[in-house]
Amino acid sequence: MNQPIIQLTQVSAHYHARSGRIQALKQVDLAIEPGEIFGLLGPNGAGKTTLLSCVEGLHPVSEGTIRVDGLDVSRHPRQVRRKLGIQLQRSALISNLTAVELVRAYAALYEVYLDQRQIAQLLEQVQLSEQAHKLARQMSGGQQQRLALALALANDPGIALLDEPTEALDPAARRAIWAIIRAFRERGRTVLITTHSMEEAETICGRVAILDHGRVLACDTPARLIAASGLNPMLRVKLDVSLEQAQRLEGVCAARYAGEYLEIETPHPDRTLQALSALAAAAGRRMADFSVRQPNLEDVYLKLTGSPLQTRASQA
Amino acid sequence: MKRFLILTQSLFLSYLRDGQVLFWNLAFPIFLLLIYRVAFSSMNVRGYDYMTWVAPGVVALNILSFGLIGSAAFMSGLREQGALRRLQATPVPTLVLFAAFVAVNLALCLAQSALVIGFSALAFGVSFSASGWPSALVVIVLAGVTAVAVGQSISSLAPRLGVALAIGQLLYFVQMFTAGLVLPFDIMPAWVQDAARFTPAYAIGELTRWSLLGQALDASPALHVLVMLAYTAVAAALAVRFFRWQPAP
Repeated sequence: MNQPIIQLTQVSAHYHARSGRIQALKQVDLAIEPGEIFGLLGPNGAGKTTLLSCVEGLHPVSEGTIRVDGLDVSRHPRQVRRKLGIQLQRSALISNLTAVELVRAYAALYEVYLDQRQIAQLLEQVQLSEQAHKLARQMSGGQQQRLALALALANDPGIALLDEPTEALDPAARRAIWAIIRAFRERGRTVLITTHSMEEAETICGRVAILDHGRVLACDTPARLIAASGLNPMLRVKLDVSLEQAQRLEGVCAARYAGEYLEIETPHPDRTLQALSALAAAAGRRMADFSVRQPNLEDVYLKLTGSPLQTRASQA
Repeated sequence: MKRFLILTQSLFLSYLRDGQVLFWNLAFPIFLLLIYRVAFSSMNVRGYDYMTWVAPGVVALNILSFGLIGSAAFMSGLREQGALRRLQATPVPTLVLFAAFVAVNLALCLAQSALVIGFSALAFGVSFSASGWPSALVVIVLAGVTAVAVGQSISSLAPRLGVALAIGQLLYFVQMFTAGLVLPFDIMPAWVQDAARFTPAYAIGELTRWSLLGQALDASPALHVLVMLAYTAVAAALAVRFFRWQPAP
């Protein structure tokens, strides 16, 4: 196996908030290989952004070491930043500049000097050709986010660190960004991306680490994480019965409500469904909209942390 | 060097596209001069006709507003947008960022001073001392450094853009009226005069008039320079000590 391009060894970090000292990372070990898209999955407050900030050398590490391409980040922050393309969680643009001016300026900050043609190419990649001479502050949120991604790639970095690059984007815009990230990886580059979308993690990430309360709970490919979780298929049905009744049915491993849908983990969905319809008939309730799906990362996350990813993310 | 120039150019453009900066530093001084012309043109102050006396005062006032309000709002705005954090995440040495910021501020300071001087000369026939230009240049640069340092201390200490603007405007308006920039100093009560003598605005105003008009000073120019340097040193120390790349939590 290659030498990891980003290696975190027993990294702990904290920050000071109004509520006092908060331990954001707890003895995190991670090794990211060159050429992979690695996802940090977890709800807001899990420590994803702090982890990226530590790799960027923007946030001090209280214990442990981080090496990027062999360089210790705390000793050589500027040399490390030279290798990185960075997208912060907020688009963080100088709002009175146009897309062209921003790309030119940010590349120049890395001592990379782009000509008009190269700038136009980069803006075309993120589908901002029409907005090339628009001020950042006049752009929509999605356009600003794509511009921030263009700025992260402007210095043609070996490694891109992207903090929720598709947050709050519509599905088409998300897919456009995924395509850019994949194309970047296909040129042999490495991507470390944070997300609280399991769809995103499953779609583009080779491996993911599930982070919760500053700890890495699991780290592997999405498929292997799902396989290793030992989770069964999920039966989903619109039905109003008590959870205890559902849990008592034969073969049911777990049951929960997601909105008005009852979700049941069961190794035998067909048998469980029969038992459920009997239960529904006895209680005089109508059963509708049933479906069966294979377990996904969301279920793995739920099993590992005890709370669903999406709800917690939207509450935070 | 190319990196420095591109960065400076970007900050310059960003400043110039800020409506607040344009209004306060380019439109407002001209508007003030026109009002004074209408209201006080028959008045004489310290042996000068009012427009001649007030023009260097407006130059000083404008430098003050640029530093206290414009530069503070610019920095706090960058911080609030997250743009400062984003700049920190690049490999650019802080010193290069600082140098670009200072260069842009001084260039704008000189440009707006030239505008006020030029407009007063052309529109109102104010005649400035021909031999005073070199000292005026030094005074304007020094005044710009002082005002920007004070503005940056405000930006570093204020938790938000809105607070920085409020503090900057308060300090600006208090000094505008008390430090003898646009209203004759002698009409102020003695206690106001005593206090205002120690403001940076007073030192800036006196030195600007001294260099642009050849007006006699009540104290040696070195003393006024010393006052400005003292304010600059304290303000710069505060600005650096409390500087934040990110908004307060």
